[in-house]
Amino acid sequence: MNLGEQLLGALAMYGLPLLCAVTIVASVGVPLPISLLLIAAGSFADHGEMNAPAVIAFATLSAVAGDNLGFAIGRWGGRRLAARISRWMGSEEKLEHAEARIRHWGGPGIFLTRWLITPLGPFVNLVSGFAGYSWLRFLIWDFLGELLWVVLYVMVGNIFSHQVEALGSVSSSATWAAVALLVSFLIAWKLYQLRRRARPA
Amino acid sequence: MRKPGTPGWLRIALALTLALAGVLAFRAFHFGNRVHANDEPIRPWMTVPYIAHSRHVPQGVLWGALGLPAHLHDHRPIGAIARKQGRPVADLISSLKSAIEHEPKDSR
Repeated sequence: MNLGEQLLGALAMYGLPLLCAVTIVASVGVPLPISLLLIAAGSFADHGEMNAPAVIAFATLSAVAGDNLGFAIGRWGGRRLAARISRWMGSEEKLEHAEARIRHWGGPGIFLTRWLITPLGPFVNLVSGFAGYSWLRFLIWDFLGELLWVVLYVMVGNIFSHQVEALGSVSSSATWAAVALLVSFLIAWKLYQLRRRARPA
Repeated sequence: MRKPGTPGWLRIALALTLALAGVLAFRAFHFGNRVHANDEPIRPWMTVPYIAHSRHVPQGVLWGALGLPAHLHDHRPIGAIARKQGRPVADLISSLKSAIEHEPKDSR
């Protein structure tokens, strides 16, 4: 059995406590197939083996707890890293510019990385803490995004409850496709800027 | 010819990430089609209530096929049941499949 199947078996046996523990660990940044577990939890709820409202409440709170742990690590453990990054970027000024950008775009970025481009979530948590983003704003965007993510996956699992593994494959492929599209967009934007700069005035 | 100001490696990176996005989107679409097929194979992580519900078979029939009395609140995956019984999980899966096939369609 692979890791995903072992976790599905463990979820069937231990239910909510296992789901909460895995959600916290995955939200901090350990790559675990948490979306697959949420789909399975939705399916188990349809079969009467788990309780859907409890799954939604506890999984959302666990995800928010894990994200805030990542945010705290970034906030209080990030200064040494900041010094390194500023050396790498060439100057303090550039780092401050990057931090200001994160503070400006942070909200939608936090929200989208909770449910759409989830692989970037743990990184965004660290960077938000490190960049001095307001904790209260982080908490609000984080909670809304995680609630949407959990409700979405639990509902999909609940509706198509006989196809847990196929749904897991759909969700992981679609998520990574979204990440690849985002990277493509950023590269295309950089190319556009370079071409505009190169064009004679 | 290379246009001034646009590094070639950046354009190659764009082509690669777009191709990757296309392949992943196709994969998602492919698995999405399987969701409607309703042909999920029996796997070691599945529980008897899960299999009974997805195959529309009474739980008692499946417990009987595993040589166990009906456990309505037993949520062990069949992999764990196989370990407890000291049998290969493939044996349990084939017993379950056989019980499902022999169950009259109108009772499902």
